Amino acid sequence: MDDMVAQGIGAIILIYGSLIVIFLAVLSFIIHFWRALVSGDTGFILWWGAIILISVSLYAGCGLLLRKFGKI
Amino acid sequence: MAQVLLSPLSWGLGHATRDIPIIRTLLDHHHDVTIAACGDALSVLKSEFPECSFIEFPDYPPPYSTSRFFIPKFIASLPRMQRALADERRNLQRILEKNRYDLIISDNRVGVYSLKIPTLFVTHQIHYHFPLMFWPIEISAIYANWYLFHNFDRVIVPDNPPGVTSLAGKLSRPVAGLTDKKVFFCGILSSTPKTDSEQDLDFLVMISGPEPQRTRLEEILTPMLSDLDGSTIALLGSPQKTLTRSVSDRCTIISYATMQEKVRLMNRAKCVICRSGYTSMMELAELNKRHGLFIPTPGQTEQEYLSNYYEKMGWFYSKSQYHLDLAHDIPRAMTYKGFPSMPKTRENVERLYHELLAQYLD
Repeated sequence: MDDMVAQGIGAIILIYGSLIVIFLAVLSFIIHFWRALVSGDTGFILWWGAIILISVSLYAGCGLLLRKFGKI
Repeated sequence: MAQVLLSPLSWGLGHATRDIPIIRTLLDHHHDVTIAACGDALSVLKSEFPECSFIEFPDYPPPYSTSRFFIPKFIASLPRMQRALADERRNLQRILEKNRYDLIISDNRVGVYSLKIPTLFVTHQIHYHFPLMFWPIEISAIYANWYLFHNFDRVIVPDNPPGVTSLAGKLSRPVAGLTDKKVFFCGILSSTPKTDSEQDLDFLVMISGPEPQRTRLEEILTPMLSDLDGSTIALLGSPQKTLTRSVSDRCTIISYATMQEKVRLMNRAKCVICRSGYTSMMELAELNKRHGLFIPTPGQTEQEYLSNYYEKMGWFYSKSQYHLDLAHDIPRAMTYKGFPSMPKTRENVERLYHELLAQYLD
């Protein structure tokens, strides 16, 4: 098999694999969050809510800074 | 006299038409050029250069979408593209076994390279643009491109070097220490020469690009053409139809124009309304057009970026096809100043030949 073809197959496995892992992680988190909401587990909701908020802010902030300084 | 294999991507005619000046220069210097392409790109080059040899060489299926969501469609089409890439490598191997070549020029066909023959890659996109929320993908794509370039001896960028005259903006800006090592900025390459014809056409509307968005733009723009205050010709870019009809005494719709007719009309136009495809932009820069309205193809992040970039630079006004209103947009578009002056194709392609191509051919 040609090198480039093998690398292409590897890249597709990596991309699709990552998407599946991300999808499963999000799905699992939604299920846990929903259960916590139903059972009134406020500790879990506050802890993970804060983590999500901070993560999303950092993600968006990094993107904005990279664009502001012309890196992307 | 050297043998050159040139292979453009056939997603639209842009890649083929920007290669026309390169092919012409190679022929002028008495080299033999074999063109390996498919579809309309092959037809255009066949009619332009009957003296060349031609090989039917299929490329990848275009991942264009009917909706604005290009990225999911692109990801879904990856296995199909991978299969096309494997076929491309196999077919190239067969071509190289049958004939001897001194140089390969690949216009955006990532699988067209040989480790035994010098290979040059033509692209204006060293850096891809994605919506801000996908910034990690944009950064990954820089490294992916850098890795991709290791298969090629040099990368020819049809743009001016980064700076105030850069036509592709960040798309053609290399990353220091990574993609900058192989890049050669040759300046704009256009197959649309400037003529001395009088500018007697107020508006030229070019409805082009990949389907199904071409038809969608036709449906949106056609009813608005009568709003234009001046003589208007609309080119639909549909080679399948041969229709010419008048919407009013000042507006004519032509379903398809040959390249020569298109060049004539572009030279006559005072204002051009078109997609913001990079090849069209190089044509407008070549012709020194000052007024235009750009309508980026929805979901094509490159065209969306170019539209925003030109607006930010004060060069040209753009509007999404979903919010288009020619009666309001044209007066606004007229206030923009057009591209800055820059070296033209004739000068650029000669420099490209003497500074880069000649070292592989003579």
